Amino acid sequence: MSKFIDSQFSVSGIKDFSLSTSYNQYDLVDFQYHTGNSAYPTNLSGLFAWFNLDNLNNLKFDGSGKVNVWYNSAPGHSLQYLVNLDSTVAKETRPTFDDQKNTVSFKAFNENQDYNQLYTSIDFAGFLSDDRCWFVVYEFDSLRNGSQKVDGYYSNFSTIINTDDSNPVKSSGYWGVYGNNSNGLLNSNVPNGSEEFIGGPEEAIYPSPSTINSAFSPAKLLNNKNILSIIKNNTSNTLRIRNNGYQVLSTVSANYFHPNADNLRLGTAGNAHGNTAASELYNYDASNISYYEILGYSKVPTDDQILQIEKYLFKKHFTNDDNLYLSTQDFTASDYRYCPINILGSQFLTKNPDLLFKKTYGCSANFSTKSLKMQYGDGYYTNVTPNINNLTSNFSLNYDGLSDKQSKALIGFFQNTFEYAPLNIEESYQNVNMDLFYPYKNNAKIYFENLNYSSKESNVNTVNINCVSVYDSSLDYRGFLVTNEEVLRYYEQTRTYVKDDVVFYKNADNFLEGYYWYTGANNVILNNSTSPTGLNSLFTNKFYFKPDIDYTVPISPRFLKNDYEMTSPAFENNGINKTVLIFDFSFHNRSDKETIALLKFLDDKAGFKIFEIDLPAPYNKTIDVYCPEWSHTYKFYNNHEISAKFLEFKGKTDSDIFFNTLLQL
Amino acid sequence: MSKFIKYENIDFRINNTVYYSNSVSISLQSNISPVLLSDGSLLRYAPENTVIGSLSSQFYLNGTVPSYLFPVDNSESSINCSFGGISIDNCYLKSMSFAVADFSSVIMDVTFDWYGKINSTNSTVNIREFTSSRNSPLTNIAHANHSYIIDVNKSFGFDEIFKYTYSEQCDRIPFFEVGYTTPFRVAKTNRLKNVSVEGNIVKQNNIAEIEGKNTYCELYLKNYANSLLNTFTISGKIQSRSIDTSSDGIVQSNLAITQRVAPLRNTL
Repeated sequence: MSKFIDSQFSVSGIKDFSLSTSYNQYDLVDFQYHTGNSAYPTNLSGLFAWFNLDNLNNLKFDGSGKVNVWYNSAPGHSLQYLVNLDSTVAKETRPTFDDQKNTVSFKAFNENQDYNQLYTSIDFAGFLSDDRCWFVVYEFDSLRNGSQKVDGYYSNFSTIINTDDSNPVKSSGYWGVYGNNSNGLLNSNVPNGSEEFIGGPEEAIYPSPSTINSAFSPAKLLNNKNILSIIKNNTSNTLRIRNNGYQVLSTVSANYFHPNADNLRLGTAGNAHGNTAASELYNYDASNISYYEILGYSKVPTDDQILQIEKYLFKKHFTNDDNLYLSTQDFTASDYRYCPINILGSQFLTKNPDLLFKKTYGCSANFSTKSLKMQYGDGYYTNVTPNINNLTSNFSLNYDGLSDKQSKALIGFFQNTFEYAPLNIEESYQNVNMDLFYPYKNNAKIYFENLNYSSKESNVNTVNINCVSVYDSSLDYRGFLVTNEEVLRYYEQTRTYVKDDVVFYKNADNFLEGYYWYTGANNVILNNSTSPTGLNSLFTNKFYFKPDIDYTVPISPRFLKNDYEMTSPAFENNGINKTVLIFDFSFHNRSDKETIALLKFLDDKAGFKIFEIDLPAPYNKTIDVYCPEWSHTYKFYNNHEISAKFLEFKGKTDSDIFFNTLLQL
Repeated sequence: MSKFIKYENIDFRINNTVYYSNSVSISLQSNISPVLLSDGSLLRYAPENTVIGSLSSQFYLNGTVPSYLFPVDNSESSINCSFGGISIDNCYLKSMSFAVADFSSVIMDVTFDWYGKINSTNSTVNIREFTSSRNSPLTNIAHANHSYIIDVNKSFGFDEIFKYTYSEQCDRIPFFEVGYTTPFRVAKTNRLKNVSVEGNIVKQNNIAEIEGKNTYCELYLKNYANSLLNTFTISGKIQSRSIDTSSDGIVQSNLAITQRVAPLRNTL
């Protein structure tokens, strides 16, 4: 076990990820990027290039906010920084700083063949003449198709780095990617997302590259950060290429990263980009790419040192990727392509419990408002919402019928969620992204709180995962939890509706705009009169759902009772609005259709907004209420149970809050 | 001579193997409840659970009992049953039993729970009789003639056996993914083996001491040609014992043995 302390788990048998080890489905696998320690970059001799974003002072911005200098942090090489001296600002040749990803991001504009670039102010000649290695953490934000033709030229390769700026067309200090194989169109024999590396633009001769045509990335390169290691021994002429810990190439050739490749260019290979015979086929050499960090050494490190530097980069840039994974099927980790940060490994190791476990009936949700009740006397009060995350949403995810091994995997997985690190300094530790259940949204951000485990018999178990969704604001439409498409649509007068359909009625009047629920007969042709705000409307925004036949509505009026020591008590009137009703209604065995309509109604009211309800017999009166808490259980197919608490509200005025938000998927 | 269902396209099959069945029955049970609203009206009848089907059959054994007909086996997989032009894919075995009595062929009883759809075809089309090559010789049918039971640790208390029955059973619990009515797993629980033996007069002194008394029996099921089809064992406790007679009968002992099959938990 690597970063984990075994005592924090209640289950045993967590396996370490290691090569040549076999794993079974539902194994808990602890992945770390190789065993052993990392090394701080300056602890390794020969460091001549270190471009990092540990500090914004490592960048210099021009007047338009673009990056025109990326300083070299390698001790003794501060003058050999990356720069863009182009004064033609209109061409947008300078990259930008992406504060979300903490990257320097280079864009390429296919239409006019413009591109962002940075290049060394002074090359590394004199210092870098023999062995060298580069470590690059980057991700492609786009990749050009291998067969794409722009103005008659094939623009079919994308630069990662070019270190032979003086030989721009047939660069031998170049490393890039040929085309875009994300859909497996260029090579269906490798996993989708695996891209073909190329060691020089001349290899990108359409329709297929020539020399290095089997070096496919084990990692997804598009929209996925990864580590590229280039190690060149200029004595033996051995070139080794590693990607995310897997060696994709080891070849002997003087053609790549030769002694004169002594500078660095990012964003493009820097070829002539002209209509010349030499550059015709690889005229355009750039795609959108973002760099996290770049290291260069004038040596060939030992294998251990390579791992130490790669591990340093991994720990710095791959937050939470060294963690506990679930094995999705039986497999043997025969090489590092099977680690979870690579494409193949991600098919066997996952942190998505939805891929392995089925939620069963009995899942439930509880909602309660954090609004504060301000009492004004005489039964008047108002709800004050103290923050934007007014509604607390707790979910109980039911996993029934689990085998012993499945139970262990599920328990261990959620116990481990406390070990996730924050993605940035302002946030909690990373949440779990997973689907909730009907009719709540998928891909919700949940935090595990506790679980209940129960055993029925050998190999027959139940696990209830209790979790909370805290970062979904009820005042932000993205925070609404009932987001099924059938409750997120405009009212259309030309179509027909069935009972319990939900529509959003757009209207210039804020008092009229909002959600309405169809209560008429099914499939009636509508007109202005029967529209949501018509005189004979078949829609309502009242709480029209009828509770179960067994209901209680207690009355507890407010009055004063003065007890005297020596005589009987005296009863006195206590103002107006003596009776403020508080009651619970249950809705058992309701269909999917009615359930989603009812939950949408309560979700829309967000726990504090006032609405009308018709009290059943013997009261038979319409009153104003709000619903501060409700719960929902998915009992069985097309069968739900809902209970809701209602508090009568006496002081409704026209100044009440209207928050009519249109939800759109 | 017994009557079999004897036409090819209405025969009874389990996992596409034909069984000489003399009865098959299928039934369905829904689980609905009425929903009454606060105004007294009836909203609907709501499904509380899925529709559970039952299938039972009796058939003559003409070969080895396949592994999928042992309820205490670890496999929980569904099996296919078909007869009379209908086919059910998601059948889950609940019980299996047979009786061996003097001069009688052995008939096996099986019961299943089933879920999901019935696939039906017109069974009256192209009705054709079994061809002789498909019929197993009657000498292959399991029969009491050579079958026997061994009371290994001498707990029966009688030496002449008229009849014995063997049964295996378990409860099946379905588990459903939300949004589905067909279970993704139908677990086995309460797995039991039972044997009951009818014999002659008791010849042991301590026959009343049945509580906690160990028994171990071996049953050898053979066909009429004396070929061994299956061996069954039970290692359990005596559950009950009785001795009875009537004016037109003989003094007869009955003994029931039960074994709770307890698979060990996964220790991984």
